[in-house]
Amino acid sequence: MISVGSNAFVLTPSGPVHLDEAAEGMEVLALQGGKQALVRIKECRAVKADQAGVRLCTSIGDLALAPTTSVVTSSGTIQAGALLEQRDQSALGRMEGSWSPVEALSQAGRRPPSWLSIAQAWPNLRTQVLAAGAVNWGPKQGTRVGAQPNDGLRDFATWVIGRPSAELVDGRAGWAWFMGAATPSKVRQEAPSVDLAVSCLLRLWQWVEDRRYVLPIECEAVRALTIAWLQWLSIPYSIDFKPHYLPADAFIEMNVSARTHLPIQAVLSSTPRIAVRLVMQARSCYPVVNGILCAE
Amino acid sequence: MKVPKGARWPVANNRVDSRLKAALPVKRKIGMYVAIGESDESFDEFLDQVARAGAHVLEEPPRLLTAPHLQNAIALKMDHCSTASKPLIEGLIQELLTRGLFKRFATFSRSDRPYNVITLPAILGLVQEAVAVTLRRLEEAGEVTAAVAARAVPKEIAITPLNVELILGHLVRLGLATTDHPLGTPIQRITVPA
Repeated sequence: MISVGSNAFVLTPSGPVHLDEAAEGMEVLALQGGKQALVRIKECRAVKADQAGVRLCTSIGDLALAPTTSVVTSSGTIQAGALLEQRDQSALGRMEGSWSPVEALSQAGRRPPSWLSIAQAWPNLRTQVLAAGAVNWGPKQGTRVGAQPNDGLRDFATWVIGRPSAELVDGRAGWAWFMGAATPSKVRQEAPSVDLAVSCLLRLWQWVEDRRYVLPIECEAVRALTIAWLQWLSIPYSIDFKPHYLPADAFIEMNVSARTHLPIQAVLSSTPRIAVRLVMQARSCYPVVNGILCAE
Repeated sequence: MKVPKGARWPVANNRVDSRLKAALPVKRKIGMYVAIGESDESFDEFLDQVARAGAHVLEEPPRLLTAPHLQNAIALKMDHCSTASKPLIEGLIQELLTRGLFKRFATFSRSDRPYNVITLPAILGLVQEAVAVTLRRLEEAGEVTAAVAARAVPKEIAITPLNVELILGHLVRLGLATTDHPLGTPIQRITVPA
């Protein structure tokens, strides 16, 4: 049984699915016999987390795991609790350990042909982006985006908000908001290109420099959503959690070369309130959760 | 072995002379420094003392301090903390954050920059309660002043105006509110974007 924090996504042919919505019988992406495969979920249920977990941070993403749940590394599977113990306790205030790199499915160019096109998946993507950016202040509502130096937010207004002329209110601390509700009835019928869809996802982040964005570590829902869609679209990216001893910010960088062996950046004790127990129908398969290959 | 004066706690290797280096055989990394000490136990004791002094500084009254402020306050609380040991406190604070014995809280400064403050786990619980209460007020009224927040949040947090300002700054930092305070002045009001 795999037990992970609830704020995570699995990948299905129709798009990333939040674990809250994953269900028995759903086919999700996994590594099986050394190859990508779709494996059915046998059981998926949320439970109150009854023990401290482990948060693993890598350049492909982060995930909270139960100590007894394993991840796939270049030297085999290893339990999250063991990763925590492998941290070098003598290097105080530093995040060092004798960790083997985590294995990931290749991010580039290996998108299964049976998966939906971006045009088919766009309504789902748009809904999830709106939900991740939504801020409700009683009667008022808005969509939080990162302040951007270029006109990328106009595309966001057109494609996600559904109103090209939607008013953008600038705030402080690198944020801006599109005020008011999105308007599904006016959303363009056609779908954007993959590049435009990715651009819309990254508008939820704060621009740092060309192809580099940042989010406070607290914005876990936006981070998990972005990673899930980039994985699903086979777009290479790299996440840098800083500082490693206890990340405060997550930086994402695009235009990087795809890698399948990813060094561990941080292993931290964490206390998820809700965990999801995931049982797969096939034995000896490693489902991809938040980009990380998990194992029983 | 006789301990040279000022060497009760481990010291930063680059802050002491060669005579002292020779007397301190155990080497470890602490934060950005290579530290040397008498024994493995001396490092453990140093970490323990920093944790105790930090708890004392942060709990009475409940405070949230930046890492440099906490570092200075801890150094003042500790006996025999030489100028060669003091730089190591920063790395030990980082270690205590990693272990969850100290907690971090993100906020926004008067000079328009995000920054983090440090507190104790028990105080962070109160801080999170204060954040939730302030956010509810913001949803109801469209704005929250520091005075309103001070009355709404747990009294342990409202004990200093700076604590309340940090709560307001947290909501700005996460994009849940905005503010119109002039640069360099305290955050006195947060609002829903208009």
